[in-house]
Amino acid sequence: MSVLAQFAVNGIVAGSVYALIALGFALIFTASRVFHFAHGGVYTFSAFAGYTALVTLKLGIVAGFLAAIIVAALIGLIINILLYEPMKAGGVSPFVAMISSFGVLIIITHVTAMIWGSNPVVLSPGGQTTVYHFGSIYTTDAQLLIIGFAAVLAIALWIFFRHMRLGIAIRAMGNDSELAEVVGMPARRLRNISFIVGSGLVGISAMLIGLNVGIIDFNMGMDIILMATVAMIIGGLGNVGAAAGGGFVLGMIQNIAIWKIESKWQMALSFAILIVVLLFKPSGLFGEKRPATGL
Amino acid sequence: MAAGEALLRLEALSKSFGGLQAVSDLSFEVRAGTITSLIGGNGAGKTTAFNLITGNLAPDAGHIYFRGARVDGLPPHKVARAGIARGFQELRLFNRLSARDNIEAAIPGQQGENIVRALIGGHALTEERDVTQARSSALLRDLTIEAHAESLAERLSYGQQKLLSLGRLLATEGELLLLDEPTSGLSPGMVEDFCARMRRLTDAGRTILLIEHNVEIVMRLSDWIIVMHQGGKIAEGKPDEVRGNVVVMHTYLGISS
Repeated sequence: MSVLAQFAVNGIVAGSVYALIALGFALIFTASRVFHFAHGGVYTFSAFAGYTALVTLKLGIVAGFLAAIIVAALIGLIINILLYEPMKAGGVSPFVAMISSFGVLIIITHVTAMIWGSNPVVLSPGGQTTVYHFGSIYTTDAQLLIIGFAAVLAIALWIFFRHMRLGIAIRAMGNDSELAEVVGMPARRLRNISFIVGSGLVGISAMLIGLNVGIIDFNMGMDIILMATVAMIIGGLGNVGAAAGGGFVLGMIQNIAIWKIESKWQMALSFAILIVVLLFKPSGLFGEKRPATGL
Repeated sequence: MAAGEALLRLEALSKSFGGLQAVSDLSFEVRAGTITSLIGGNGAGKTTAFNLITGNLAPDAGHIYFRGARVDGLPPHKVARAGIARGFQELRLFNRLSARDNIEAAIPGQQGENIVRALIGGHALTEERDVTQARSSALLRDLTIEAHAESLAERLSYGQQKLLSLGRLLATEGELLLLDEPTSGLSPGMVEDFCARMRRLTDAGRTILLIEHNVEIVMRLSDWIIVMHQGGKIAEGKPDEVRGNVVVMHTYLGISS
């Protein structure tokens, strides 16, 4: 039983991680209707930016997080301005934007390897990791940090989207950007803001995961962006809260399944969950009752 | 702007799509406080004229003046902020936002839209929210859909959605309202309600530029009528003056009543 409880704790940590990544990914999707795969590249690059501040320059943990957040926000903004906005203006289909985004993911991944090398590096604030015991369950300070960040950010974003002018404006724009402009919303600026905030979130996630795992490598964004995509689709497209919920469910199932299924099947299991959800609930577990066609 | 002065002026406006001349050398004025109607058969260029006015399309030639200042070349959101509010022929709402959020999204000049102010706004932002909510409540009440304020727009009935899209226009506080067939698909009772609302709006100082296929409504409601054909203006005048031509227009333009 205690083994299952430990897996459940691991599931909460992994679920929180996926929820955090999916939050930013879905925020950007809501505002711009782009499947922003390059988000995975932003994730990787910002983890290494944090590593440079924290480990190489020894500026401390806060500076590490700030470096990751700022670098992520900047790259996200630049990708939107240089890639997606011109495509949108030129009437390019979302599918082409998605493929281009995949290209940017690969470019950023390789640029990361060129700058920091292709070997994994250790991301640690130095000193000892504190391990907490709750009965027979173990957890670390990095894991508690992840759960805390995920909970706080999920609540903050929920308030932002439901009750704040800027959040409602971003939802309105995701719903119908032409109409948003006609009623006087600066659509372009709102999309830029979404990229800044969504990318900043992935900077936080990158540091949290890096600190939890202890090592980072140039390829780390590939798997995570696949998981974020799966999370967003099983949660429900175009709804940020649903994406976070999807991420949480995915992390829980993956980790509890380890109890009975070997961990090498985790990726296959994730896609099996995706297929089952799409077959029986095409709008996603927490999405509105309509098919997921809102591209 | 005083009633009777030209609020909007189009000067020799032209727009073509490939080989199709959608609007050619179109000039007219919309005087403040009036209901001015654009009529003409399908493909006469009425909706293209709307798209040019709102900045959704850029004219190939000609200029557009609003309150005496040029607005052609401005992006749509700046035209909207300048005071031109536009309704669409097909029902267009933020379907996945509540009725209230649809209205509030259109209320201009909110500091909460600025990311820095949104984060550190504090008390001023709370006050702004109260003002915005009071305004949206008043609009929803006037439109008789207050009971559905928190429902998603897509859950409302067709008539309620029409009312909500009018409410969204009014929320922009635009001085000039561009209405594209606002009564299409409505029951006779609701058509009457809409006509009365439009008249009340101009009485309250707004100006309406209307596209409408229903000739009876156009004749009854308009202060001024502009007849378009193949992208250009072929006649304009008061309803009585245009009515003199109406039989000809029936055969010539194929306007159905």
